[in-house]
Amino acid sequence: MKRIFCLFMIGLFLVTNVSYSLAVPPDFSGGVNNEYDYEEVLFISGEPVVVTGSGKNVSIKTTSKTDKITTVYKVTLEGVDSNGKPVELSRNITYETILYPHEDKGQTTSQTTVKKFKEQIEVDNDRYKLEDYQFSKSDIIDNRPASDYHAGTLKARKTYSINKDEGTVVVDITGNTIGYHNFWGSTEKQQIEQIIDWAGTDITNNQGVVDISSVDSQTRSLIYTPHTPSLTSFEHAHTRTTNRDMYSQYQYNLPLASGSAIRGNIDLTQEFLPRIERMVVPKFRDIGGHWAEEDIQKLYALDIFGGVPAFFVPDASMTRIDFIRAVVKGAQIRISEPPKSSRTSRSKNTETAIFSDIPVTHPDYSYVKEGVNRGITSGVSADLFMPQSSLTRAQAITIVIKALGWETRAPSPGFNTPFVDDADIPYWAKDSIYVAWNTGLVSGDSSNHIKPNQPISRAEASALVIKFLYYLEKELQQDHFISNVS
Amino acid sequence: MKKAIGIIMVVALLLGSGAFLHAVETNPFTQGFIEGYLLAVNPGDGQEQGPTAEIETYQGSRFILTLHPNATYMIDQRPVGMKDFHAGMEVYGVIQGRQLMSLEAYSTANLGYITPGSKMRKGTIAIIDSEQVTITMGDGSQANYYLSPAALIMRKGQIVPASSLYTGDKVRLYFDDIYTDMIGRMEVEGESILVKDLYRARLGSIDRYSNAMQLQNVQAFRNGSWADISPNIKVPFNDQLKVYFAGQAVKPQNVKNYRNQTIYMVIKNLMGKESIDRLVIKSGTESAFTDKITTVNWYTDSFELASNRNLSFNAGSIIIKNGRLQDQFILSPNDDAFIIADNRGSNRIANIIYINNVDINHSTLGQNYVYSGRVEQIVDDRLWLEDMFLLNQHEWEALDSGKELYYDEDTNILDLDSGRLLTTTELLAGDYAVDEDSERSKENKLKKWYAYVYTDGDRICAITLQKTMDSLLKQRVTAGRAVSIADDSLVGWALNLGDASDWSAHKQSWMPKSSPVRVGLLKAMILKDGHMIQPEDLKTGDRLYVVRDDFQARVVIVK
Repeated sequence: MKRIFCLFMIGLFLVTNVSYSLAVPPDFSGGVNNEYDYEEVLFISGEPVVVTGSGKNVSIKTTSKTDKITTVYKVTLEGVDSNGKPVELSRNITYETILYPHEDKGQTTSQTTVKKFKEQIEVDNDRYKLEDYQFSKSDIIDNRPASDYHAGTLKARKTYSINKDEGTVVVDITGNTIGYHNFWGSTEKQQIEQIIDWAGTDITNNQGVVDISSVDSQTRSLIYTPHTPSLTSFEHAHTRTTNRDMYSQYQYNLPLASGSAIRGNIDLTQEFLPRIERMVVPKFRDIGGHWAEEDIQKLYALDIFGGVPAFFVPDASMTRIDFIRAVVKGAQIRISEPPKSSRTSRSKNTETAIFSDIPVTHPDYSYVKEGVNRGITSGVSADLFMPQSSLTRAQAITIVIKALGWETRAPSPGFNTPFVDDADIPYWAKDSIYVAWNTGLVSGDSSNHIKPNQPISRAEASALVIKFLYYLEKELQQDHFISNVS
Repeated sequence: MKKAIGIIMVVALLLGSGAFLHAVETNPFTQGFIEGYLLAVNPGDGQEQGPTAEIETYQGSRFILTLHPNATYMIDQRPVGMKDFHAGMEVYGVIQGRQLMSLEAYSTANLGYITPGSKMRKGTIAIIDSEQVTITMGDGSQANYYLSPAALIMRKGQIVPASSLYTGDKVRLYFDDIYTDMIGRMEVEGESILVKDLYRARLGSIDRYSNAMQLQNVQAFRNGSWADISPNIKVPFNDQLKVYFAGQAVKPQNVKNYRNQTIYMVIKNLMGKESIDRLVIKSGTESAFTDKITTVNWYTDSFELASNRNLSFNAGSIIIKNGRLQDQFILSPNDDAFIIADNRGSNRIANIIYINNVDINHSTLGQNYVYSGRVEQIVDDRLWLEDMFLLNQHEWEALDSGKELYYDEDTNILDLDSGRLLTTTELLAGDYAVDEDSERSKENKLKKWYAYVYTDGDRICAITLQKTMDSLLKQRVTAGRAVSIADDSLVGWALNLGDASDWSAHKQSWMPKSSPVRVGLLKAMILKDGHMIQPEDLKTGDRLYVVRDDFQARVVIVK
């Protein structure tokens, strides 16, 4: 099941439909698109030319089978050069990605190659035809509980003929990609260098360099939406919106026949229409004016608290079971379905509970099971989870850091955290508390105490879960935006 | 005989007790723990006795111990599984009822080791002081970190000098050791940190799902006044946008209540498009002032202008200096500011404080100087200037004596007469510092050349050489933003400076100009990050510090 999930996630991650899907810039040329339009910049004629296409002239389709993903880019784009001459590009390229899951390591590697290609660029009376396209790309995807993180490297070479026999243009492409994918956010950043060689042609006698930085990013966020009528049953609600933007920056340095060069930047952006989902309305009667009111309402809107309770009791202690449900449900960590049996009910597999104090029939059993299977949490002993026990701050931070998959970013053992009460931190929580501090997820109180063994209140736990979701949505995005791709 | 038996008994007792004590020390079942070397872990698959561990004690005894089904396993105090143990590890096990209840091993050689650069702090530079920077973190707290000469400072993937850091820069600091405050690497946010424009408009509608505002009667702050740019535009906003009205924060969902009100916005360029980064809603009638701040009162959050007007500021006041949004603590006496304020009765609340002050060195980290003088002598790695002037506080100041300055292979040397970049050998071999009394000089009418020199300390970063001396008295220092750069067919490369200010020696103030300033670059030494660049490397939006002789720029520094 884990393997299938893994493949599914990677399949989704590589999909680039011209609709809402996971964020991956189209192709490897710096192009940007939305549901209808596509544009990129061509340099093959020795100057930058923006070409655009839309509607039926742009088709980006992905199909995935067990261990294989096929992506077909089919575009017809038009533009004009600096002399007002028409430029037209027609491209039909098929990439195939083979996935290699490493289930024991929770990772997947992949290899992408070109299966078919056909590309032709017409600049006024000159025709550039893609005669050969060599392409190799490989990715590593680290599948962590709440988010996948990936990095890739590509090398490619495109060889164009000019008017059949008037010379060749060779484009040498080197690139790297970084990204992540989770329910709340998905970003891929590509950094690609194109070295264009016109040697042997009469256009120029030199090389040009184009650096392309492309980002495709999608986020989901909860927006507070007031409900203004006085004679109505609720005052406000939340709306979940999914936004997706693409951005490319081309930095070019192209040779001129005179021996000098033209340099410049071109930025392209496209954005998709936001997708809207209205969420359920919280009606707690005891959180008005509480410092965590907004966070608690958001969690309720996400349907993390079951039923229709009138009181949240924000300052009571958070229980272990409530917190693990909030993290698994909040991050939309996919719950593994039990294997389906085609036999009669009498011969159905009866699942054995992981812990003796949470039967399989417990409404939150699946969240605990998923948390244990994914290494987010564990019992207080081998057979006890103690679901109704108070959760300590150390436990809460450890669960969140393990869900993010960051616990391995801690120093080697034998270190101290910067908190005054470092000595009170349980040994099993030290890594997570250090990482949470280092990434800004938590900080000490005014006297720099973390109070690791103090029970965390329901309000504090709500704030921590909302911050965790904010990291999945925004902090990962901002970190990937500013990180150098190398 | 009795005595002999007694002695034998005593010896036997002593030996026996010794043997007994020895047995107590080495019997793990008695002492309840075992320490030594792990020889093997048998998972015990299919075996009745279950998993076992074979351990050799430090004394050399070997034991095969059964692992309790609920046994806990740790390596270096981290919870692990049985499979993580390897033969040869030093282990410590707790025994209860002849079973191992826990097994702990030690593996790490470097305690507390972090991968260099993996400790990270992020925030905004609040103070730059000598070799120390104060960072304001996301939670508002501040911390000091130290810059060593070895610290790598990077902006947009390029290494830049520490002197290019500004307060207001957003940075990420990376450390090579877990406990150090010495910065190993600093990544500085690129151009997206810069304020691109100041807008004034009437608020139309707000689309919170696309994070965009529809604005009407949009004006941009250009050359000291508001200029119309569009009757209607839709501008995206940062989803963390902070909005203020009369000093009070306004919740995002309530901003729509201010429809048709006048708003002031800071515009930045994010991901290739304009985006609103800060917003203040006008709460009274508008006044604008251009004046020097004389005093700042931190107890009342107010300041006084040279014209004796008092204005207050608050958390919502937009403060811009060096093209960056700043914390209010950046305000200081002698700042030349353009202020847009709300009049509420007798009170004036500053909505926008735009500080014009620009200097060659904007922090104590910078030791850059601009000199002008006659080249007296050039030797292998140094030269001497005579009849020297130093650009001090934006004015040329004559120096009593000459100065010895150093150059190297990284020094950019430009012969303005020929327009050629020179090598150090060409500088040395050329007739730039001739002995004017020599026969050869007299025969060939050779004279010493004059130079503009940009230094880092006493090291010459860049030097331009020309045959004749300029009249420095005629020169003026102008600061502004490049709004256009072009290679003009008549005057060569030239640029237009917008939002420009001239330094007035008489008023000791930056005097904003109401129109763009055109500047020629043909004879200019253009500098960026300590290196000479070409006119075509300048970008629109660059903030420039220009020493100019009317139209012709002599020194241009990209700030």
